[in-house]
Amino acid sequence: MNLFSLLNRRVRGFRILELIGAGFLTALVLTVYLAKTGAGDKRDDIDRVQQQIEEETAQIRLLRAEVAAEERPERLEALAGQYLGLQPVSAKHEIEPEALADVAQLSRPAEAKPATAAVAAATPQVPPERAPVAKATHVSIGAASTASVSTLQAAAYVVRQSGAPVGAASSRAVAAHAAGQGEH
Amino acid sequence: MRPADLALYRVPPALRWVLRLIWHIEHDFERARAEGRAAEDARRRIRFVLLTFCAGFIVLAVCAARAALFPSVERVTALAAPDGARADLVDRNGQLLAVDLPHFGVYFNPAENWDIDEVRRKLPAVLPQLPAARLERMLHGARRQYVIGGLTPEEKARVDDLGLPGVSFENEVGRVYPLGATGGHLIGFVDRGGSGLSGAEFALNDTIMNNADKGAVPLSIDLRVQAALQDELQNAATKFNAIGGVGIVTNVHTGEILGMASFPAFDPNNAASTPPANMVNHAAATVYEPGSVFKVFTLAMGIDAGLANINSMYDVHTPLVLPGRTIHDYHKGDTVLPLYKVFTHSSNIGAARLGLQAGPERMDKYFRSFGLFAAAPSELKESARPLVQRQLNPGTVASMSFGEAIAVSPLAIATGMNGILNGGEYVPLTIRKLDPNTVPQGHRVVSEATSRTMLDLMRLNVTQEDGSGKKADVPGYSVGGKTGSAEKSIGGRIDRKRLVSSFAAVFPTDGPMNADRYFVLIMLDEPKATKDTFGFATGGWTAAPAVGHVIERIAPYVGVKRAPIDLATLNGGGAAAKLVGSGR
Repeated sequence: MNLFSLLNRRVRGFRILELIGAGFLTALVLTVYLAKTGAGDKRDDIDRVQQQIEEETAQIRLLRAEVAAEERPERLEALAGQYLGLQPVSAKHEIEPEALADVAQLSRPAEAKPATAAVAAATPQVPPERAPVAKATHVSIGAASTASVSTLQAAAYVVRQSGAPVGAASSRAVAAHAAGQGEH
Repeated sequence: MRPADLALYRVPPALRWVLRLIWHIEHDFERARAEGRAAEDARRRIRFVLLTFCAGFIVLAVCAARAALFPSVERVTALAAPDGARADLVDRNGQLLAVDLPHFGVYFNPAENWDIDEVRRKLPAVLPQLPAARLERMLHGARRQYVIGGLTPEEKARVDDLGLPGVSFENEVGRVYPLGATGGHLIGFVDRGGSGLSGAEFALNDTIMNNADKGAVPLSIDLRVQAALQDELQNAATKFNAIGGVGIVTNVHTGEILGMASFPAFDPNNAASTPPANMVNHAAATVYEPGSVFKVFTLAMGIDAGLANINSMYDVHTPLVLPGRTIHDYHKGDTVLPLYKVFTHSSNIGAARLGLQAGPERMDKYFRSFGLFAAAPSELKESARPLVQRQLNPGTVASMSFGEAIAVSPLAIATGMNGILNGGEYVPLTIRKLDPNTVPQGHRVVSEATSRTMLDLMRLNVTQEDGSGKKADVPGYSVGGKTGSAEKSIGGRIDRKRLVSSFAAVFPTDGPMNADRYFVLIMLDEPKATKDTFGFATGGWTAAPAVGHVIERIAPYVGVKRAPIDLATLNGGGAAAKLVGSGR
């Protein structure tokens, strides 16, 4: 039996060649259909994602514009002045770190005055005791010693660190404000 | 029962039905052939193929109907990024200056509406900006018409909620300037079609259009510098009740404009409702008689040409009489002055004598190289051409030596002074951000030695006891500068009460020639004297303090460190500098 006669043989009235052709054609149609459908679905997915990206991009642009409007320098300046009393740092509140010691020295009173006899008499005689070891870094201005006051006064001057002249402006002014040296 | 028949009963019912159908068709074929009815056999085959195709087309029709009725991607356009938009504008640090946002245009078709009274009643309630005349014209129109544009999504939703028949929307692009009036004149604005009309929007229109989908276009300005400059200009102009004002900050080496302000301020978001006069960028589009700030150019010319040095003596004790005019000094009591005092006393007679010493040819050559005889070379299309005398006769030469008989734009003054103060290279100003490694190539106008001398002279004018620029000094920033107070010509007559007062400054003046250095110019148009200024409205009393404030605020932003200050000054010192004299 040669190949021609095999292909010419009939099965249920159809030549095998016809059946093979029909099967191939059906498979081809199905494949094309599935491929097209799959591609269409993917295209839809891409369109959907693209649309989301566009919507998000538009929202981001809108938000960026709103942020820019909220961060207008004149608005921030007005708010900082109104609520925090901040102003540009003046020359009197800016100093090199090396000069801090000199400032502290200049701010220290020349010599502590002796207590008057009346005050001494009114003061309860408490035996001297060892000073507690400091645990917290916070310094109360009211309880500050002479040296502490000098330190705070020194802190009122802005310590200019290299590379941070701008960003530290607020903290400088706050430091100056806390020490009563801020400009109003 | 054959195994094949048994297998038939094991398959699913649907497939079994198909197989039975095939068997029946096959059986019909066999029977037709057995009965010798070949034509019937062919007819049946054709019918089978026809049915198959019909089934295929029915499937396709169902799929097409499904795709049409239930789309998988919704067409949402409300917030889609606008097409054909312009690129964002940002400052040199990436801060947003201008951005395109989706807007909507409203259209109305009278043919689709049967109750125009309802439209007339409801639409103005949600669109108060809609002119009544335009609404009436639209209501009685014959076809679909454009009503109003530039609606935000919220405004569009309010109109949409009215449910008015015949009202429809179309997407448009709207240019928004989130900073409002900050930098308004320099940034400029666009028309409804998205084309630049002024400022950077106009100057860089092609670049902005071509970069729409490539990223933002950075400008040279620093928003922090711009805001400080504009704020101080506004304060000074308000304090002295000036009718106009100009502020410019530039990098003298690169020519980048870090800040440019014009008073009155202008908000590009409200361009349509702004008076045209307020939209003029006086920094570029207006020419002024500059007054004594021009002595910087005259002295630079004299020193560079070898005609004089800072100790050369000039007789100023009597007015200089020339054909057609007599030149006086405002600083009384001077007799013979060295050149540096001609500068610090702002002696018109001394400057005029130096100008005459140079002569018209030399002055023409130098002033032309300083860019004073042409529009300032900048991207800004508004850059105005100067008003220059046709012939440089002795009277003109003497007058121009101290800033009269010539009118130039502040932009041109800034460009020329940059060339004198940066080591001697004339570099055009730019509103584009330059690459940090780029050093613009210019042409030499004066020697480096002359540039150094002029920096020292300007510093002297601020530090010397009787210098006219004392009020601009800022401790630690080595400020130098020159005052200017030009009397305005009104109707062909000089009005001594109306001045254009200015202060041109540079900081820091110390350090090597290639050190970072910045130029600051404040110019006030017709400032009025106050009690604090003892009746003076000159540059030394009005513009110089404003320049000092600007420098104190912007120095940290541009990275200029304050030099160490004497501790004695820190503790209780630092009193405000007292100006001696008229401050011209």
